[in-house]
Amino acid sequence: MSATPEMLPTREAEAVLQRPGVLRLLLRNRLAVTGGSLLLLLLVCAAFAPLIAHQNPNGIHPSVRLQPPSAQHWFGTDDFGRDMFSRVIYGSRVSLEVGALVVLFTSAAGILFGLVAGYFRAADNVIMRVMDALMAIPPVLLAIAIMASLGPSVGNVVFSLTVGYTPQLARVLRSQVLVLREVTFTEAARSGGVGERRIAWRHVLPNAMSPVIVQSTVTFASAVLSEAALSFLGVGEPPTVPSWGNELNDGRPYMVTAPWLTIIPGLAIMICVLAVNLLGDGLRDVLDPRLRNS
Amino acid sequence: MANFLVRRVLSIIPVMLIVSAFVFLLIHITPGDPASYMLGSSATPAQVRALRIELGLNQPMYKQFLVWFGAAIHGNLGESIFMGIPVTLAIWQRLQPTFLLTLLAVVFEILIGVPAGIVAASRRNTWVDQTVMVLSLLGLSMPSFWLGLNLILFFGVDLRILPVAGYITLARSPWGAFRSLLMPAFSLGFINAALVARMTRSSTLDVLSQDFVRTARAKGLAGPRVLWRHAFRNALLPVLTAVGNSFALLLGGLVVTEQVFAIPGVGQLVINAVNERDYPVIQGALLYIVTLYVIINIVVDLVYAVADPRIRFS
Repeated sequence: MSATPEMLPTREAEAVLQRPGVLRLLLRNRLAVTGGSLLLLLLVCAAFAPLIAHQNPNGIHPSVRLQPPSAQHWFGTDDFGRDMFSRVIYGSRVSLEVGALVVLFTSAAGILFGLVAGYFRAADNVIMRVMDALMAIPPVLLAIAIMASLGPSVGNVVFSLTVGYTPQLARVLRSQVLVLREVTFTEAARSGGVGERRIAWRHVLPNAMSPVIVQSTVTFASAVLSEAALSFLGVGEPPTVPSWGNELNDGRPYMVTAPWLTIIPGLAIMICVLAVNLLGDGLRDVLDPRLRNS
Repeated sequence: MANFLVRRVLSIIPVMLIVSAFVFLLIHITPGDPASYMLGSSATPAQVRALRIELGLNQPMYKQFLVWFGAAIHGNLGESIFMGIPVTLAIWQRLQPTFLLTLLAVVFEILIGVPAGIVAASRRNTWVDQTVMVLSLLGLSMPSFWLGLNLILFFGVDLRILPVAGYITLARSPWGAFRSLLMPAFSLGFINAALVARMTRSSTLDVLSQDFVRTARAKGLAGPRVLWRHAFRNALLPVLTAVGNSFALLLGGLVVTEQVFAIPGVGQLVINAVNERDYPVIQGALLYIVTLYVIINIVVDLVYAVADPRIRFS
């Protein structure tokens, strides 16, 4: 098989992120810069939440309940008189934490399963049948069912979403591996006496990473949206956790009299997911121009 | 074609087996004893014991699975613990709004997504294209239930032209049913339309850059004719895949949307069951939705095979 550029995600046998110029290309990409800056802003909010929001996100003040946005309470207050600005700022912690952890765990599991399935025929059938089965369950439903059994907690949300989103990642990686293990440079490595395991880790995996990284941004965005849906339904984090989904759920009964309680947390979710989607589109353009159309 | 169909149908057997095992195991990953978990802290030991026997929890796990699976294959998903009716009946009673909601959402998805994508592709890099792309990116980034809440505020509370929540059955008033599903279906459909628009745009762009399109233009065919007769038909396959894939998002989003709009459908049944820890209902409804999803996928594959003969022989 010849190593034509159309068949390979990348021509060089080196790690995607170490390839010179990726960062520079990213910085020149309008989508990536916009998304990256937004995400950075959210990260700052999450990291320095106590410095940005001076009021306790869980501090109850019955005298100022359901106040519209004002100089004192920028985003108003909820039915317990809790400061919504603080709650929304602290909410970024929950969403980013869940998103990041789900990406971390789905990547680890997806890479393991995808690599093993793509590389070892014997394991392929078993792993991919299980992945197919998991993919037959809509991720949010799967997460709801698992949460029903495990009970509400941030850790369980991360776990249930990881189960839901791993199959997609494993599938993406497997299809890459199937192509890459047959191409010239792996053949060259093989004829040079390099062991299969080393080929898998050092030659195949780094070259298969571009679509995995792009898929990870999709996973991040989906995880943030699903987490919000789970807590909105009351099966996500415990109700005391100031997450955007919980805030939407708390604000819903007052939707007509205090619309800021539902509009603002929803906007926060949208900005967060938009940031990740923009970054993902930019990464897609930079890492693999041919993926743009897929 | 028949061969393809048989192969495709057979391929769902392992999937459904594994899904069933997974759905069955759900009840067993609860912390502690499932029977006392389901009944809550106020249950007496005698009640717990009775439920254990009723659910067969006193038997070995493999036996429980075989009994449960055997019944499920015959269409018996057990009995709801709290409603006291068979799970299949509970699902059947709530099927109408869910079915119509899904249908209407898919109609919105296709009616908005496909034309938007084609128009964006044919006016590439103009303000039309950019507007479609920005709107679809926003659509992809917002929770569908939040869009639903905002629609309720605007059309239901401010303008008062649509009901804010609830469902009117077809038997009572078909027009009422349509009106009560309009907002929930739009909020679900719009999110998926965003996905479909992006896919349509990129696949149309792909086709527009191919030689036969240039030939069609070169021989003097009008722009719209090239776009709709030549390009669109060839761009349809990836769009079909996108529509098929969107069902996962749709069926998941259904649960939240039905909750927002207080629609008594299968999604609401799931959430009620989760809150009451009514496991037979959770398991049954989940298995039901997965079966539906798998069938939808087969139908999409079939349409795909009809549209593109190459698929059948691979």
